[in-house]
Amino acid sequence: MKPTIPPWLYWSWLRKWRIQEALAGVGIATGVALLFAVQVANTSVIGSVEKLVHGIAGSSKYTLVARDQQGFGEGLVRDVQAQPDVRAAAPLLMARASIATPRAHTTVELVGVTLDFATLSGRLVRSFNGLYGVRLVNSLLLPETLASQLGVGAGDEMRVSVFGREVPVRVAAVVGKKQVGPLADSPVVVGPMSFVQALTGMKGKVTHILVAPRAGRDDAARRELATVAADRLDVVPSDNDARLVKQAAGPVEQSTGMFALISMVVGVLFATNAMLLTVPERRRFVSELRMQGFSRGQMVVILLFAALTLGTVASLVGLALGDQLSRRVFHAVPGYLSFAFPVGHVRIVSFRDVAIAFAGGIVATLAATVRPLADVLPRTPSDAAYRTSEEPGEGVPARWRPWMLAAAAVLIAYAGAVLIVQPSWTNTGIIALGLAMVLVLPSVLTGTLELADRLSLRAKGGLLAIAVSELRAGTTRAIALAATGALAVFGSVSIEGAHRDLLRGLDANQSAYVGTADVWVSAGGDENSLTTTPFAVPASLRVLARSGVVAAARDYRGGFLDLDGRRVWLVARDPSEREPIPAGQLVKGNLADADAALRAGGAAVASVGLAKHLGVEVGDELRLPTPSGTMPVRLVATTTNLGWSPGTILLDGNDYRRWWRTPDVSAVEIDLNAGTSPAAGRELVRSALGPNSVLTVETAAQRLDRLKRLSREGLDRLSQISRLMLFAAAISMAAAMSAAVWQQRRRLAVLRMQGFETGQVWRVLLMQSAVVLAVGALLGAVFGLAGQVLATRWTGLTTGFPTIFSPALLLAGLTLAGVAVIALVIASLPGYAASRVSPTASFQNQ
Amino acid sequence: MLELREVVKHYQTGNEVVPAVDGVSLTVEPGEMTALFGPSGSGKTTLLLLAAGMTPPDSGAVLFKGRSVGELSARDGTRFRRSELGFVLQQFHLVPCMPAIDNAALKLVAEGMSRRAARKRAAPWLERVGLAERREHPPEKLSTGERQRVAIARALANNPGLILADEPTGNLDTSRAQEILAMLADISHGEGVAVVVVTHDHEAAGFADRVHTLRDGKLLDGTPRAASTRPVSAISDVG
Repeated sequence: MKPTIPPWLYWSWLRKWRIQEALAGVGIATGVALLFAVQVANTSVIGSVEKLVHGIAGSSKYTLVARDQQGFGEGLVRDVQAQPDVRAAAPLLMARASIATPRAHTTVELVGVTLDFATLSGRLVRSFNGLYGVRLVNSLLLPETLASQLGVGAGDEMRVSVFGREVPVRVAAVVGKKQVGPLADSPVVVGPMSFVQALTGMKGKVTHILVAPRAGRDDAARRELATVAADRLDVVPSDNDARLVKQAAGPVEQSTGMFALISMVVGVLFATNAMLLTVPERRRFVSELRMQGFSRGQMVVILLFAALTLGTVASLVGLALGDQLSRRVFHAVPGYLSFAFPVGHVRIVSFRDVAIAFAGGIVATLAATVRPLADVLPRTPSDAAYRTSEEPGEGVPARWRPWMLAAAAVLIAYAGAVLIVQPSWTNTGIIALGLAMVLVLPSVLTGTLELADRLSLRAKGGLLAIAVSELRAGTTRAIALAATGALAVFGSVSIEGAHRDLLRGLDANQSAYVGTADVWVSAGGDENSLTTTPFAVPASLRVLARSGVVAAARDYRGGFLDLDGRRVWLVARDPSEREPIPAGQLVKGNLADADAALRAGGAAVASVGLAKHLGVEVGDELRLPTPSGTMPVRLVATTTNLGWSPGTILLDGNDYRRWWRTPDVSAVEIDLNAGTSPAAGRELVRSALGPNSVLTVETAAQRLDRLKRLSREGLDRLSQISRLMLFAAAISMAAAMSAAVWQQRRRLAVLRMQGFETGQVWRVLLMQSAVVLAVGALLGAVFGLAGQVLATRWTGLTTGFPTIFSPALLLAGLTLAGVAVIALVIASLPGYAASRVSPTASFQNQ
Repeated sequence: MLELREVVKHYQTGNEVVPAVDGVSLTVEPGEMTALFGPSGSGKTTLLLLAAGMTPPDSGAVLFKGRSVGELSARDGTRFRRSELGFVLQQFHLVPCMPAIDNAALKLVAEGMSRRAARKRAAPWLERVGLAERREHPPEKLSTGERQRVAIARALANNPGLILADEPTGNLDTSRAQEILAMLADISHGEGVAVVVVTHDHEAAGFADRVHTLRDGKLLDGTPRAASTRPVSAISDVG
C-alpha cells in the first residue's frame, strides 16, 4: 500500500462524516484542555518558586539558614569564608514584606545582598554585580512584572512594610527579562544589605549564607558548615525552598491532578460516544475495503492513521484551549502557599505538561477507536462483509449483564473495603466505584426502558413506547451517552462534595483557631494569615491591656520551622490560653492531659501526618531544631494539620519564647470585658496604636472571614474543575445527542409519513433524551454520593486537612437537574429541526 | 376515489429540468388494485408522492374523494396521510425493537389514541395478515415476509381509503412476494380499499385489476383486469 492511500481514504471518510468526526475531536480536545490547564497551573506554582530559588542560589551548593526570622550575626559570614573547603560564601537577608502603592498592594520577598554575591553566579547575582544592586543607596530594585503590577517605575516611591513597621522607599531601577531572565516575573525585591537591614530592623544580621564548596569537596564543606552552625542554624541544599514548596503543594496538586484525570476520562467517553455514532458506517467502510482486497494489516494501518490524525488535531486544539483556560480560569495563585513561600505570578509551561496532555489525547483517541479496530478482526473478508449490520439492541448482549453486575458488586465491595481497611487506597476505591457504575448502567437502562414500556401502556399517545423502542434500537449509543452523563455527575458530586466537606472542616478549625480572642492584633495582611510574622508589641498596647476595657491580652507566638523536609507551622499560645489545643481537631491523645503537659513545658502536639512522617507516636520524644539548639520535647497528642498540609506543631508560649530567644510576638489576642462589642473593642485598640501603626487589628469574625476567603481561594481549583467538567459533559452530551437525533431523521421521516405531527415527533425525541439523561444523571448522583465518602476520606488523608462529612444531597440533586436541563435544552433545538423532516425522506434510497 | 388529471411534475438538477411526471391522468376506484410498472427513473415514486399529497404538482390536479390534495398545507397533509392513506414500502420502515402489534398500531397512536386502545384496534389486522401468534415479536425477530405483513397491517389499521405500495416485494423472494401481492389484492377487494402498487415485479400484473406502464414520466395505456391473467412473459416488455 502506498503511503498516500491512508490519507486519501481518511479524507474520503471525512468528507462524508466530518461533523461526527469533529464531535469526537471536541471530546478529546476537552479532556486534553482540562488536563493541560491543571498541569500548567500546578507547574507554575512550584516553578515560580524554583526559578527564584535557583536565580538566587547561583552556583552555591549549600545554605546556612536561620531557624527563625530574626536571623543571626553577620560575623558568621567570615567564619564560613574561612573554612578550608569553602570556595565562596555570600550572606543574604531575606524577609517577607508588603509593598503598597496608590495602585496596588502585594507581598514580596525582600532580599538584601552584599558585594560577596558576585562570587556566585546566579541569574540574579550577575545582574546585581556592578550596574545595579549593592551600589544603590536607600532604594530597591524591582522586576518588571512586579513594577507593572504596582504601577511604579524608577524613581517612584512606594511603602514597604516589614515586621510591623512601614517605610517609604524609592525604586532604584526596574529590571526585565534581559537582565534577570525568568526572575523578571518573580515577587522579589532586592537592595543593598545595609539598607535592607535598616528596613527590617535587623542591624548586623543576616538570615542566609550561600556557600559554594571547592571542587570535589562538597561533603567536607558540609561538615565544616555543620560545625560553624553549631546546631543553631540549618545546613541545607541551596534549593531547599524549592523542595519544600514541592512538598507543601504536593497534596493539593495530587487532588487536582486526580480530578483532572477524571475530567480526561469524561473526555475519552465523549470521544467514544462520537465514534459510536458512526459505528455502522465505519463497519461498512471496513468491510467494503476488506472485500476489495485490503489485508487486515493494511486496515489496521488505515484506521490507526485516521485515529492518530484525529488525535493529533484534537490534542493540538485541546492544548490551545487548555492554554487559554490556564490563563483565564486557573491563573489564581493558591493563596495558602504564599503564606510560607515567595510564589510568583509566572506562568510556566513545561515540555512535560505538553507531552503528558498530548499523549493523553492520543491514547484517548486510540481507546475510542478500539471498536472499529475490532471489526478488522474477522478472519475472512466475507465475515467482515456479512457481519456489518449491527442488530438493534445488541449493544451489550443480555448474557453479559449478570456478569457485569457481578463485577460491579465486586468493585463496590472493594471500594467499601479500602475505606475501612486501607484508607490510603481510597483513590483506587473512587475509580472502582466509577467503573462499577458504568458496569451497572446497561442493566439499569434496560430496567428503566422496561418500566417506561409498561408506563407507556397507560400514557395517552403511546409516544413513550416509540421513544423506548428507538432507545432499544440504539442501545450502545444510549449506554455511551448515559455513561458520559453518569460519570460527569459522579465526578462532580464526588469532587464538589469532598471539596465542601474540606471547607466545612477548615471553617470549623479556623473558627476554633480565631475564636480564642475577641480582637486580634497582627502584622501584615493575607500573606500572614497563619500569624507567623514577628513584631515588637507597642508600649501603647501594653497600656491598653491594663485598662478596664480589656479583660485580657495574651501574646501569641508562631512561625515556620523547616523540619525533615517540611516547612512546619508552629503555634505557641500563651500559657493563660483557655484552649491551646483545639478540641475538635484532636486525633490521638487525651485532651486534658495533653493540655496540662503543654502548659507545663517541654511538650508538643503535632499533626498526625507530620508525626507519621517523623516516625513518632504519642508519648515518644520529638527533637525540635530551634535557634537555641535541638530541643527534645514529648509528643503528648496528635491533631489534624489545622489546614497547613506540611504539618503543624503546637508548643507552649513560654517554651517558644525561651528557645527562639525573642520577646517579639506574632499576634496579640485581646479579650474584651463584657459590654464591649468586638467592633468597639477593635476601634479602641486601633486608637491606642495610633494612626501611624501598620499593625492589623481585626475582630475574630473579620479574621475568620478572611481565613475562609483564603481557604476557598486555595481550594477553588477543585470547584473550577468540577464545574468545567460538568459544563463540558453537558455540552458533550448535548452535542452527541444532537448528532444521534440527526442520524435518526430517516426513521423520523417514516413517523411523519405515518401521519405524526412535528410536535409529536419532537416529543418522542425529547423523551428519548430525557430517559437517557435521567438514567445517567441519577445513577451518577447516587454513585457520586458514595464517591463523596471516599473522596472526602482521600482528600482528607492526602492534604491532612480537617474534614467534616455531610452527604451532598442538595448538590447531587442540583447537579443532576443542571446537567439534565442544560443538555436537554441544547439537544431540543436540533431535535426540533429534525422533527420537521419531510416525510418524503422515507422514500429516498429505497 | 383517486384521480390524477394531466399532472406534471418537473425536478431541477443543476441547469437541467427533468420531467419526472409528464401529463399523467389516472383514476383508481375503491376496491381496485392498480399496478404501475416502469424502469428506474420513469417517475413511479414521484407519482406515488403526488398521490399522497407529499409533493405538489407543477400543473394538473390530484383529487382524492373529489378533494384536491395537491396543495395541502403541512398540517393538512399530515392529517390526510394519517386518516386516509396507508403505506407499504420496500424497506418496511418498521420501528426497530418495537413489537409487531405496536408497529401495526403506530398510526392510531399518531391520532392520539392510548397505546392500549391502539393495540386493541390493530390486533384484528395483525390477525388478518396471519401474525396473531407473533404479535409481541419485534421486527428483528421476524422474517422479511413477516415484516412486510406487519407493514400491511399498519397500513390498514386506520381503515384508509387508499394504500400506496412502493416496491412492496423488492426485498422478498418469489413465494413471499406472491403471498404479499395476493394479500394486497385480497384486502383491496375484500375491504374496498384502493391500492396502487409501484413495482418492477411483473408478478404483480397477475394480481392487479389494472396495469399501467410509466416511461419517461408518461403513462402508457392501461391494461384492464382481464389482461392480468396473461402469462408474465406477455408483459415482460413493459418494464
